[in-house]
Amino acid sequence: MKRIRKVGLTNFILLISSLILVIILIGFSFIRNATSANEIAHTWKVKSNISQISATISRMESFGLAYEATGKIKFKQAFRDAQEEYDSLLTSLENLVADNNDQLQRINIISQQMQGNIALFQQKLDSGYSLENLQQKEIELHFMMDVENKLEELIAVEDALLEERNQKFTIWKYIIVGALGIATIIVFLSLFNLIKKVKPLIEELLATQHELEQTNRNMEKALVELKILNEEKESEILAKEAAIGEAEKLNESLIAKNQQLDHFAYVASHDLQEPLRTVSNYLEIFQEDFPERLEGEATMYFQFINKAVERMRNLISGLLSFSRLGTSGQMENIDLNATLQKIKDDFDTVIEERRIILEYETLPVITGYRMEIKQLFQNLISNAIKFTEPQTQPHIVITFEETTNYYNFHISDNGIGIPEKDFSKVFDMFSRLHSTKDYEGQGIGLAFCKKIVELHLGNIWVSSKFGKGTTVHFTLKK
Amino acid sequence: MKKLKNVLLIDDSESDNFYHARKIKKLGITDNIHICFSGEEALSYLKSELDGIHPQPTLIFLDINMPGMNGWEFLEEYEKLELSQQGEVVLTMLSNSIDERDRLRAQQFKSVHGFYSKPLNENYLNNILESHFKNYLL
Repeated sequence: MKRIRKVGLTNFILLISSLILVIILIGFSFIRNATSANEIAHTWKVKSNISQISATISRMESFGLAYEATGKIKFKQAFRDAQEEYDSLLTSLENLVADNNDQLQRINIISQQMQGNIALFQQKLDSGYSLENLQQKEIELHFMMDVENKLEELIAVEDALLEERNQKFTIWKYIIVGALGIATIIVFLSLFNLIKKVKPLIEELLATQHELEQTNRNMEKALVELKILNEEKESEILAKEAAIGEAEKLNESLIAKNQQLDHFAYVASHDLQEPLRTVSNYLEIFQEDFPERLEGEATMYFQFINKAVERMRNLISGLLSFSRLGTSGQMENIDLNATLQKIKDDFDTVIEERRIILEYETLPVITGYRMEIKQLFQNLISNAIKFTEPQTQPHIVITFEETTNYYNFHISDNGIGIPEKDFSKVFDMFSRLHSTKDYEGQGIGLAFCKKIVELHLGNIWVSSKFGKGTTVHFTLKK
Repeated sequence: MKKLKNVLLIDDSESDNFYHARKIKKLGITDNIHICFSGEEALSYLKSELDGIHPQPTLIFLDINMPGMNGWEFLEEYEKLELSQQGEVVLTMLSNSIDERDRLRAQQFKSVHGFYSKPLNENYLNNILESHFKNYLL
């Protein structure tokens, strides 16, 4: 901007000065021209006046001679008229050349000469007109002789003046035309200069404008792209929301189904218990009332029946407990270190007997169902102990890490391990990998764990090297 | 050891009643066991008079799941009875249920003094005698 102003100012001043100069010159030339023209006109007027005077003198001469020759009064009158005209012309000539002393002197000489001539002629006339006089005397020219020369001289002077003035007029014309030319050149030059200096600026401006337009177009393009992207995102979001909605619906129906299943399991196991209890009760009464009937093989039969009843009772009560998981209380803050301490106290005897090493770092405080969380850790620890060879010293390590939304736990042992094909099977209800003879159990421990973890919106899985040990991994949502 | 005057069993299951009655008799804490197979029957029994006196059982065992008037409904009605018609000392719930909610619900009734799951066994009975009938044990 500064540059633009500087360039503009210098050139502008130059341009304006040139224009003012041109105007002044034109004005001056007009004035000069007019003056010259007036002077020339004046000279012409003087010249015409002199010619008129010359003509009038000629007339005076003619009429004077005519009167001399004829003595007719009408010629005398005509002479008088001419003389009057001469007087008035002379007066106006004197006025016209008042500024020119040389010419005025010459006119005065002419005037005096004429006055002398007229006086002589008057004398002649007054002396009386007679034919003898006329014949005696030679007829002479009265006025023309010497005056004519003088008049011609006057005209010659005026001609010289005219010539001089004309020359002056022409010179002025040249000067004006030259000045006008120079002014025009200056104007053009400054204009050119201005254009030359302004041109890069304009070009720069144009380039900037072009750039701006380009940027604008790019921005518009980007805007359109953004809009499209936005729309895509919106439709994506809508689709996601729809998917979420569907998932929620599915989830709700799943929760409802699960509740129904739990209720079914509860009712079924509850109602199954009753006839089973009756069987067990009356087995007991029978054995009490008829001991004499239980001889030989009958005792063995009753043992099998009793074992089956016992096992069924355990299965049913397991199922019942399973269906009741998560209904015992509310979510609360649980210090897992305290939970682990309680479990250690409960397992006190076996820990001592088998010299179990149970290692864990300081565990976090989590939110969950107290009873269920204790059962989860208890089941996993008791599994780790149970599935370690009796001659091996059990070594159980509990580790965890924290993510944004979850706590991830790992419980490792040095037990018998799990074949890879059974990794998911172990979590099924009543699923067992070993015979009751080798390892006791109903096959509900890990199913419980799975349900408890799912109750806390987590996942559970195992990794294991068969024969080396097992790690159970599970996550609990914060 | 003094014997309880009268024990009332309220349960729709004949086999359970027989078994429970046998357990009580075996322990020898009473000679007088009355059995009702429904809540309605039990209520009318409690309201009945013999020589101007209501039965007023010393100990009542009540099942929850019964056709018709169930255990809960019976409790509602029982607590509206005149004192002379209610049990003398203790009313005990005896149920199939191991549901914690049933246990909590039972505690809401001030006339309920115990909650056990079936079947009734010696431990339960000793426990009841220990807490409510100390003078009978002498």
